[in-house]
Amino acid sequence: MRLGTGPRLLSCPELRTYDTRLPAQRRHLSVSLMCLRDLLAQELRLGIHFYRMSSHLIPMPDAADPTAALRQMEECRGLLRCLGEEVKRTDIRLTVHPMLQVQLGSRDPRLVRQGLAAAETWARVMEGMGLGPEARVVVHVGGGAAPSALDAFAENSELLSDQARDRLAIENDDRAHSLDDVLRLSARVGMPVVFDYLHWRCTGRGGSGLEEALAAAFETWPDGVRPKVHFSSPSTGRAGRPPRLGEHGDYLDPFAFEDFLAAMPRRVVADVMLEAKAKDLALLKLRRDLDGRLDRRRTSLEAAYA
Amino acid sequence: MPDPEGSVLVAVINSPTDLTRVRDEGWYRIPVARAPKPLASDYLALYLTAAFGEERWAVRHYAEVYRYQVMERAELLPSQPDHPRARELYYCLRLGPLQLLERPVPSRSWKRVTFIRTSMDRLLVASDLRGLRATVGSADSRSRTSPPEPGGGEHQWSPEEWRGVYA
Repeated sequence: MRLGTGPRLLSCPELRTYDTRLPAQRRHLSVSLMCLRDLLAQELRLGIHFYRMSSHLIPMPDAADPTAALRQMEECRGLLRCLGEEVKRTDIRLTVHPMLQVQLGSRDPRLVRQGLAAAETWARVMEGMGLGPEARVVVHVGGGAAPSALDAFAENSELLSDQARDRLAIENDDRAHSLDDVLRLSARVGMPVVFDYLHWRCTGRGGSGLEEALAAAFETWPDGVRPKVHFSSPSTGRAGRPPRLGEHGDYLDPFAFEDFLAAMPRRVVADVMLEAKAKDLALLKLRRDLDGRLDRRRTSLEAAYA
Repeated sequence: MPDPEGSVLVAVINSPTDLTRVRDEGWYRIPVARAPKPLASDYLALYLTAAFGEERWAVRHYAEVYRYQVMERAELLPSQPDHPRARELYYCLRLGPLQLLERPVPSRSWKRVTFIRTSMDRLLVASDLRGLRATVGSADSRSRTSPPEPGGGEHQWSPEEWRGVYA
């Protein structure tokens, strides 16, 4: 089992990642890729082999210059290949979560076009790096709570190239689309489900327990591809401000995580993306919290569940 | 005016030919296999070695980093197709115009310098190379004691004492 975090690493705030949406931070794709290389090196120093890339790392096709993103990607072919070799050599799993960019359940043609373009761009980046099928673009259904969003997602996903469709994975929401919804959608479109623990708690359990929910999500993953799940603990607010239900906490509840691990199907090894505001600091804290509680014959949390 | 908060990678230039390339052609190379981590920087500053006579042992120039490429040495230096490392991969840093520092930063005590990671505000006020030391990652970890790697050491970045051996 790999525990993951990202995109920012709070243990080394000097390592930056540019947000290509902001004019002041717009850089050539190669600059962002070199920043990614440095961030991955820092992850390895911390013994972390699972990283969520920033969804704003790469320039997206836009109306002003629709070919700029493709042009830059072409200019970065050597760099992408070189970075991909390093990623494979060091056994890091890469994913991205462009939740605002890709909303295929929307009925707004502009949002759909934007989502299709973003999914294709990310798929091209992953292909350019030569990454295997564990590298995924994790998306929400999008399109609000309307049941028709699921139909829209299924229809719009038909417009994707095979390469892009094979990279997508669908995550259950904290409000609109429950685990049951995305499991049904997964059966229709053939995309695996990323189980999000906190969202599952927010939408109600749909009559099933955690073990059944995890098993159902894991069933959607192709043979030989390790499932991915999200785990987070709810925020308890800050300085008197009450949190929104489903808001991520700074750190992670180790006891809830123990229960989470205990509910995982025995025969399947999954990777867990930790969603905490303290990022890598939260991951390191969770490791410390749990390593001391494991059987002494086992050397570490991740090894125990490998 | 450079961005005072910008990150700077200080790298070694130990031949006037390489400085000419930086100034006239706007690029600098670092072998992929031995590149520092972190490497991504807003600016590249250049430490001149003993080959620069009166100007030696000081950082005198910097340039903005525009973008990066990965290329084989033979693509970068087509006039040297038979070089032993002709097929090795290099990061090629594409640079903006070379700028002169108002106050050069001399090295009073270190002579073996490879990479130092720092910030532009430090570079602009430092009176000695030691003042550039930053805390980011390990890019400056070779700067004091590391011996050259066996069989490694591109002349552009290896400590000048071994220049004759690894050029």
